[in-house]
Amino acid sequence: MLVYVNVLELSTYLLEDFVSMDEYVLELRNISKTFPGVVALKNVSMNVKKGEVHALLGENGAGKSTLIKILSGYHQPDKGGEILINGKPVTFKEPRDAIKSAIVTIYQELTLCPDMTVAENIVLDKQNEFKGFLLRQSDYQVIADRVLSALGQHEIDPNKSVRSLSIAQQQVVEIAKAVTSKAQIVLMDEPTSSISQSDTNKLMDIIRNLKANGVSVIYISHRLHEINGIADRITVLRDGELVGTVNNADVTEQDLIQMMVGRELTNVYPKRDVQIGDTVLKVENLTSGELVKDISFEVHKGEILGIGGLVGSRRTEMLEALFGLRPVTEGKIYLNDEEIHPKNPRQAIKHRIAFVTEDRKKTGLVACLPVFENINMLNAQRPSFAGYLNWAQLKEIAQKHRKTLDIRVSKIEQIMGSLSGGNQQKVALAKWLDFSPQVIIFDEPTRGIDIGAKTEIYQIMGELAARGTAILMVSSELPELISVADRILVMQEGHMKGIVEKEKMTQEYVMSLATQKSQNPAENSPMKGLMNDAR
Amino acid sequence: MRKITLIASLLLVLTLVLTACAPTVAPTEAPVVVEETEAPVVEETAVEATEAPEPEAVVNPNTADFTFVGEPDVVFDLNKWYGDVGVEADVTIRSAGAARVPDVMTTAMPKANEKYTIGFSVYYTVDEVGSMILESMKAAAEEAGVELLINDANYDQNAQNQAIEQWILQDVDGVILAPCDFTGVKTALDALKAAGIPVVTLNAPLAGEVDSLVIGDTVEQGAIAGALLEKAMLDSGKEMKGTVVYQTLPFVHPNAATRAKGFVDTFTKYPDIKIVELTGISPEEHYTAFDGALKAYPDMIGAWGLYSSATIGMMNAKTANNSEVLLSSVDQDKPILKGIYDGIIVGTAAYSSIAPARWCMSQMVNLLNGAPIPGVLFYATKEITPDNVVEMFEYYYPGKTLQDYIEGKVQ
Amino acid sequence: MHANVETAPKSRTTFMKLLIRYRTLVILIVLMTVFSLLRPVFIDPKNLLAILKNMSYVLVVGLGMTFIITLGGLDLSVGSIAAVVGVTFAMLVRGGTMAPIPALLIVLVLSMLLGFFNGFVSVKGKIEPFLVTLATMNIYRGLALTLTKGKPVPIVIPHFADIFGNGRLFGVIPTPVIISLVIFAISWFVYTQTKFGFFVRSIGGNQEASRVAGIEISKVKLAAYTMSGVYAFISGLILAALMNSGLPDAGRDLALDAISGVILGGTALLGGVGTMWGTLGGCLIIASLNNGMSLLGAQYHVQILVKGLVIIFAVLMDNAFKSRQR
Repeated sequence: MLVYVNVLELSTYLLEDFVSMDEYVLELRNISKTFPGVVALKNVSMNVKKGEVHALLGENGAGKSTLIKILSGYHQPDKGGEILINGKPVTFKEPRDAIKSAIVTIYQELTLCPDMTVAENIVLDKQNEFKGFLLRQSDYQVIADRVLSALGQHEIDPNKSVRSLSIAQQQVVEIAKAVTSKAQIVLMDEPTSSISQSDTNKLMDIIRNLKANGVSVIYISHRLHEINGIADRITVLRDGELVGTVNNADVTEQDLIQMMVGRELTNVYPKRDVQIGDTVLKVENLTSGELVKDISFEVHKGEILGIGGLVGSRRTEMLEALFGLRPVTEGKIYLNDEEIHPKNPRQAIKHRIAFVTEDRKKTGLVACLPVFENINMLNAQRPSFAGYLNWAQLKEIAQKHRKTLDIRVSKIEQIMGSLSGGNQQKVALAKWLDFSPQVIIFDEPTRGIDIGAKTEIYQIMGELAARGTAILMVSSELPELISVADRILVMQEGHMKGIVEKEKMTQEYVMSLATQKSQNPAENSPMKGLMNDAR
Repeated sequence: MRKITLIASLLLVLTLVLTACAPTVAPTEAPVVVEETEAPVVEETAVEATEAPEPEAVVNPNTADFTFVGEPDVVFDLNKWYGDVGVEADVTIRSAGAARVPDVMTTAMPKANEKYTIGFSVYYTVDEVGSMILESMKAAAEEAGVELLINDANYDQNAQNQAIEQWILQDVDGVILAPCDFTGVKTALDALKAAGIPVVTLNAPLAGEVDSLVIGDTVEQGAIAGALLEKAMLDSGKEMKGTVVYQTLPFVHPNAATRAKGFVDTFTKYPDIKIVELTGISPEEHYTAFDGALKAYPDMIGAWGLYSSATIGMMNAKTANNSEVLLSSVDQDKPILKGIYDGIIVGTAAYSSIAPARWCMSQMVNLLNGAPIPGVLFYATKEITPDNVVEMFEYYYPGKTLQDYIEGKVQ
Repeated sequence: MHANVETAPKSRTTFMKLLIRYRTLVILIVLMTVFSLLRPVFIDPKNLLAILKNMSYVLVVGLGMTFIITLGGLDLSVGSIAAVVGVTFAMLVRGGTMAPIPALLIVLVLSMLLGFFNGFVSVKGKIEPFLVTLATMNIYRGLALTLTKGKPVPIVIPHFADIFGNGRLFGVIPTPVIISLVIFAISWFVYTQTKFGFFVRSIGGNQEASRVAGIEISKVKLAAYTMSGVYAFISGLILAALMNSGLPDAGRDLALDAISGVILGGTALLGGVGTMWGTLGGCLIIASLNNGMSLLGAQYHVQILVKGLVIIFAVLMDNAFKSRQR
């Protein structure tokens, strides 16, 4: 018990444990990670000094999360890479090993037990250190009190249940938990994505506090201004490769954006030249609760409207409101100049709006059913005598789509789950086509599929546009968005940041719109709504 | 995974084979302690005499034990017997006569003329009474020299009917059954009749046709319990005035109705005594009911548990309330006997769990041997009071003593 | 290719594959062989018919349960609904108060209402079907017991037992067998050849994807639970006819036997995957087990022990099947 309390004397304990200030706490040498078919990280090397705040920056899919997962023990790097802690090489076989090496990760989704008290949560992962002694509640409190006041968080009552705390306070508890685990390195994955501006400021204080106590913080965020305010050094990743590590003092936000996006714009697939026609879909001040605010745009026949933004910009939520999956609390939707109110997907479909969703496994396909049944999910809903389904006919339809979309399966009775990502995407798209939709929403249509299949998807989109379909496309890949879309709507945290016309489309410009500091921090409300809606 | 599957399948086959063999082996290694009573040698010769060539000469070797009720040659009107106490019954008995028998067979178990195959279906074996019936039936079958097929219906009349269907397919010579449901059994009895298979039932089936019935005189059981309570009340010197509570099942069960009739009749001669009926199923429910009654009826002078769960709940409630109210019972469950020993219960009307099974077997074997049998056989009821509780415990639970039970040495 | 080298292990794997794919059939054949060896009367055609007869009411409920489980739900209340059906019918026709046909219709509507109530509470109240039907299992059983005061009600009308229970077609095939097989054919058709069956499978496989595809999830679910009530109605009639009386405690093990049958038949408890043929096989396993164990004179204790083992075994096979698929 006494030994344990000593751990909490942050300043004394943590300083004693280190040999020298100059040595790196953490070194990564030539870390690569290959997943089947995808190289997520290529020879990344970086290092973290003791007591520094090291920001990790990069676009979506740049490899940040893979790196975090390697550091927290969820993934093992490919052979040839090395992780050194205080100069000694370590291998993490499982998350526990990382914690043993004093690397603690604070995830976006918090991992506390909501019905236990703050104090209990703080000591929860240290039970085995007590060697058979039963701790009394009061002992927990002593520990919790000390660590919380060390972090300058006096207003959190250790006896309260975690459920009663705000998200930001819960995050503090996570940090307190990390600190009592003798953490030398704290990884924070998008810590401010779900908390308000004032809480963000408090968090910055805590980070400074940790830093002062010799704890290193690896800070992952999209928000450049935050990084500017707190980081000592910044490492930028792009497409799984290291772009470089810079001192914060030496760079401007513009430099950082350049580093993040600075790849050449190869013409992935130029959109076919299509005559842009009348307005099909017109959205005015679309608002859905606290999540989506005031979105207005128009899409025309044959047009592809790209929707850009960073993770957490709630593009998907906006589209879901459009499709009747979320309530529209304010604003109007016009289809061919007629106002519509889709309350559920069924109604949206009746208006011939199609939605190829982002997460194929979760919302796009039924993995345990065969391909032809998936293709006919909508066709089967056509009226028929006594609900009878003419499977022979439906199979023919499926064969037709298989041919035109080039879905590569050995037979259409094959179970969906066994298909590759690209083929799954084609099936997810195929089921909408027999309804000759006026508007098709593509949410991240090329995520997780290989280059060849991507090109095919762009081709299909081009053909649909040529046939006069209005297309909305969300993509996190800027080059894709710029080459495929006619215009790009940029979102940030549920708000619209502007629509970029073809002439102005540069990666830098789109990125700066997507990352620019929020103008009204007061409205930057906590993600409470999001948590409730989480399925 | 493949290995696991293989191992699992092997295990499964093994278990099946083992469990399949287990019940066929079990009877030989599980003899029930049944008192081999001093069977008069004279009677043994009588059995041999039945093997004489002329068929009319077959006599029932157990007749010495029978005390006939009414005419031995006339079919006993059991429906009227039930009707008198207000229970609707619809049973047809093929054999003539009704007899009372003692608990212990003073005559010997008849020997089967051939190796008969007899199916026995018991309604339940998850309590002690059910297990004792099953075990004593197995022992009786061995003694009589017949092959016994067993079915444990677990209170599912449908399962019992299915087993009977199978026995008909297997061409059994006779069926003994303790029915789960007195109406649902009718389909099975009809099928048995159509197949020409004789039937002896233990406790009354109220719909259907049987050769013979072995039942307890439940009216008598209620009357004995009533008399025990009455005597204790008179002995206490109190005025015969106030409330007497009895607790029964919440629905109409023929055995409960007849017991209640016997009990209530005892007290009709006391105009100042008011009888109150309360209901419940489990001991817990009876506890709650009696706990409330002790408060609701301050003039309560006596109480009766109609069956074991009722009494067990009531005696616990009585102890918890430090009540002095006099309590009597029916059934001979061990906690009740302990209650009598401890003076919490004045006495109980008891019957053996072993003897009725033996009587069923002797009826069936006699019937198959061609000997006449009484259509209704009332097994004996005995009263247990603090004076004889120690001996009666050993009598009903052979090989166990009340002292050992109180000390927790036997269950 | 190196076909020569690979023939031996390959043929073994295809054997294992077949074994696992037709696992329900394999278990059934093993069981039947074991029982036939131990008690030859087991394969007597009459006994086999008896198995089919005693399977009938479990199968009927099992077929309804296949829809429910494919949806990712569960209906524990079917046994209680069957009991309500038996007793209400017996009470309606008792003493000639009502003609049999209107009584049947009233009871049918009642059973649909009871099933609908399960679905309604579960869908609209957003409660796990397990919890809802656990509660209604008790509610409906309590209803049956209250209506009858716990007493069995004899069914007095002529021919009822013949039509639904103990009658035989051509003097050979018991009527419940015919009824259950007709219901099986209808269920198979609905499950595989109609919109409803398709939507059930797609909702069970992926509710969110089905919602996005515009399928009306609550309607399908409500319909499925109402249908489960109808299946329980038929099963309850068979049970009542077999006993020729409405028993308030009829069908105590019905729901669990039916669920076991469905699971043995390879329908995934998580939903999405299932076949009616599998359910037929699974219910045959349960009925053969009941019959065989009864022939062996096994006590109830042993019977449930073996039943449990068979289910564990089937689930193990199921997992083997799934890991093979991936």
